Amino acid sequence: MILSDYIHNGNHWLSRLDARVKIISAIVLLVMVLTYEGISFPVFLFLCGVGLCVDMKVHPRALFIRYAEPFFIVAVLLVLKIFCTGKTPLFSFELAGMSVTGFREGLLEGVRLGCRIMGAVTIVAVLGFSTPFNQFMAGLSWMKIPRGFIEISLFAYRYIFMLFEDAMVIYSAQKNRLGYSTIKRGFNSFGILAGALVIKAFDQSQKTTVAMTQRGYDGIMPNLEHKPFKPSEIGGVLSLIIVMGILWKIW
Amino acid sequence: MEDMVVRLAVRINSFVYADGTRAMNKINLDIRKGEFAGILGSNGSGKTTLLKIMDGLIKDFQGTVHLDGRDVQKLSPKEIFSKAGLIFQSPDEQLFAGSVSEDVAFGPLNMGLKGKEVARRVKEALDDVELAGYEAKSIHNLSYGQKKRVCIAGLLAMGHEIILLDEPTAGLDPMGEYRMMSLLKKLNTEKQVTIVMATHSVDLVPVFLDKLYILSKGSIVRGGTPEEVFSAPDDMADVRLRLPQIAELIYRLKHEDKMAFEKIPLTIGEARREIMRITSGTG
Amino acid sequence: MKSVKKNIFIALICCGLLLSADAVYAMHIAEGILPLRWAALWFAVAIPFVAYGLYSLNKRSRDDLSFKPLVGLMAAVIFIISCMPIPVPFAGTCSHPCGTGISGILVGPAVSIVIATVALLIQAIFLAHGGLSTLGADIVSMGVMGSFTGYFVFRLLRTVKMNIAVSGFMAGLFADWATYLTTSVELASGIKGDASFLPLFGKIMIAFIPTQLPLGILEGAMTAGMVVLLYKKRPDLLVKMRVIKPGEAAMQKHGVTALLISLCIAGTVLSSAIPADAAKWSGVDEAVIEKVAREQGREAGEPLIDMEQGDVGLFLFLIAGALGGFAAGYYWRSLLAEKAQPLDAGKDMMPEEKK
Repeated sequence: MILSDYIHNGNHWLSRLDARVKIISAIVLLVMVLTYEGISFPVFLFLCGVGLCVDMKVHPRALFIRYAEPFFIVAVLLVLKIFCTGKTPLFSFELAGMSVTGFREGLLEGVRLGCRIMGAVTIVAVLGFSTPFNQFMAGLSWMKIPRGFIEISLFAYRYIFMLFEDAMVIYSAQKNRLGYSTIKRGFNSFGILAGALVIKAFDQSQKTTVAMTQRGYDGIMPNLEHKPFKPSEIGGVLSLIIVMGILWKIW
Repeated sequence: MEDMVVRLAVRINSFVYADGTRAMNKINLDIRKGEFAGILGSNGSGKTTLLKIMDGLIKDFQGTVHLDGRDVQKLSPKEIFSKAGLIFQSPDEQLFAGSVSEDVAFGPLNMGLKGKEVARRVKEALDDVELAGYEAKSIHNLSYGQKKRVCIAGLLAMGHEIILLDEPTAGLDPMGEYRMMSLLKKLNTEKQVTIVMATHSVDLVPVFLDKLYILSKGSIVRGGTPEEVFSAPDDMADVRLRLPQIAELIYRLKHEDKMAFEKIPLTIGEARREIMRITSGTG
Repeated sequence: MKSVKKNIFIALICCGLLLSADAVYAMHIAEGILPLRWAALWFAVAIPFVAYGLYSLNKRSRDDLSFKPLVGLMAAVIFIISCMPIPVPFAGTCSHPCGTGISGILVGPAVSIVIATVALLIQAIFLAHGGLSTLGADIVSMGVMGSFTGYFVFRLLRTVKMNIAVSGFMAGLFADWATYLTTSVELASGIKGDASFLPLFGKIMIAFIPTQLPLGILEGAMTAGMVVLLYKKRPDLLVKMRVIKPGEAAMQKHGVTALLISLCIAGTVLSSAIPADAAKWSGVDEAVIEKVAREQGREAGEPLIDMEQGDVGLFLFLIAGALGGFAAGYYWRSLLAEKAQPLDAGKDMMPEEKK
């Protein structure tokens, strides 16, 4: 499981940008991509995004894993659209005694949808690779996302790694004792694994609460202070939005 | 040390867990200001329970614990935790923020401090535990020993004068154990932090600690300086402990091989001096 | 040249198989699939539920300081569970459980929505499962539908004193299927363009069936296993989370028998209540599939085996009876004979001690 902390390159200029600026930019660009009718704008964003990821020295494997699922979904949607949508036949062939027809409108629709998906995925990928989760949450707290949600998210992120290691230990121990040798045993073992994780989570939460209480926790996490924006960052994001807006309009 | 003010006066008569387990019997000990005290006991002797009672985390016991003259059973958590704090054995139980600086800043922020003061305390605390420059590091990327030190920094940043530690050297490699004890000694001597630690590492205790209490089945069976406590080896076996290894060696040389040791040294340095004295014939 | 083409073809097949193993990531809708208006609509639907979840969270954590850390840790557990690949029988691929049925049972549906939102957000940002623009839709399907369905099915069955394992199984099963049904609605409405909704919805449902049907059963089995473990090992935990009452006993066999009898009675009553003209109601085969095929110029042919003609049905009934009887006879010892006493391992198996 690859999360951004493992591949985050803190030295890159994009990583040093304020998380709030990146989040706002990502939201605006996502809206632009989702409302664009053609293919050039999302394709442009896709190429820029991949270039940024390469510049950030994101490992090719991490990039492949990030794009594998969306690529597959695009392929499936393209097939669905080509053969299920449209009126103008583009091509047809015989398959196991059946006549299969691909439609022009479906192909265009599928390509447009696919480009939109790839453009949107790239925006979020760049955000994920350049922003550690804690900074992302700090940015969301500035945007008045409810405090409770921020607290739960930070707890969850902190303990994902610890519980994941515990899960791997339990899983390995079960495997060593033939816990996954048959399908029935596998389901049983997996249920035990899930139950063991819940027990661990519960016990850990009690201990964490005690530890937090003796450091002054009274049910509400202390407020995070935000550094003031740099004028260069504000200027940068405004310029980006204006340029992208012009491209969105004219292409 | 006897003239120093008593910070923690512990007088426990008994404590029984909800499942009927009797965890504490007669406990009578005083922790003085600036002391570096240890509670030595085997597994299940009640060390962790005693520390929790001293820290005010367990209040339904029979007896009293006074923190600076005030009964902890009557104090609010805030009043207790502004002065004393407990560090548990497992650092993962008490590190809950994403980054080192966020976790260390948690306590000062809860105290109502802001901005620059919080940052200053965080920096100072991390310097004290030799983790300067680790502010932005994620907690889960730290080693076990580093996590333990972040836990200590979290309490130092709150300005705690009394730190209780539950087996701080557990799980560390030999050099890690020595570094941890050296760090605690440094905090004790340079920052005047009163430290009480539960342990069963008998070899390190005489090197660093001022006072030692042997705990067995919920009762203090012996207390005093390490020299006083380790003067009766048979008592140690009764409570499933042993002498420090160097002391064990010299004890056998003295009593079984009749070598002319005047006292049983507890540290390698002391043993070396004694051996040199005997072999040079100056004793 | 032929071998080059063959190698390329094989490579493409392998790519497809490799990628298809990751295809069925529970029911996340990928980034960018939904147009803006649909993405905004699902956000508008999700937000009140998330808000109510946060309200419930704050209310409960006022009484219990450990509740927020618990919910955070549960979110981590659900995240890990939903990332674990489990093989899906018959589909030849791996998939991932939703986990929201489990969290719905443990912390209640409202707080479970918050847990789902956190897990989905982390997955969207860092694992490319789902997306930010589709977060609203994913919250509605997995968080809202999954949690509420799992919770209410569990509660309903426990109210009629159903066995906790069966209750857990049904909760996990229906939570999973409710999620996949909702996702199908969201996808069909989002990508249909100018086409009509129902045919595309039907196609998506059919596409999901090979993986989501068995996956629902797997999730049910996992949920059952989890609640049984908690019930046996840590009933205090279930009491604290208000899943069971203190001292509550599970009715093991009686509940299953009661359910079967209830289903039989219900089936009899319902079948007698079906009006005479119900035969005129056509199923999805005629209403959707055959209709779409007819529009494309492909009329349905006669069935290869026509059960309504001659004694085909009776013949198959005879075969089934014969097979069943043969199987029962072959395994009669397991079915009817008493279980053998276990060996006294200490007496018979212990090697002699060395003197």
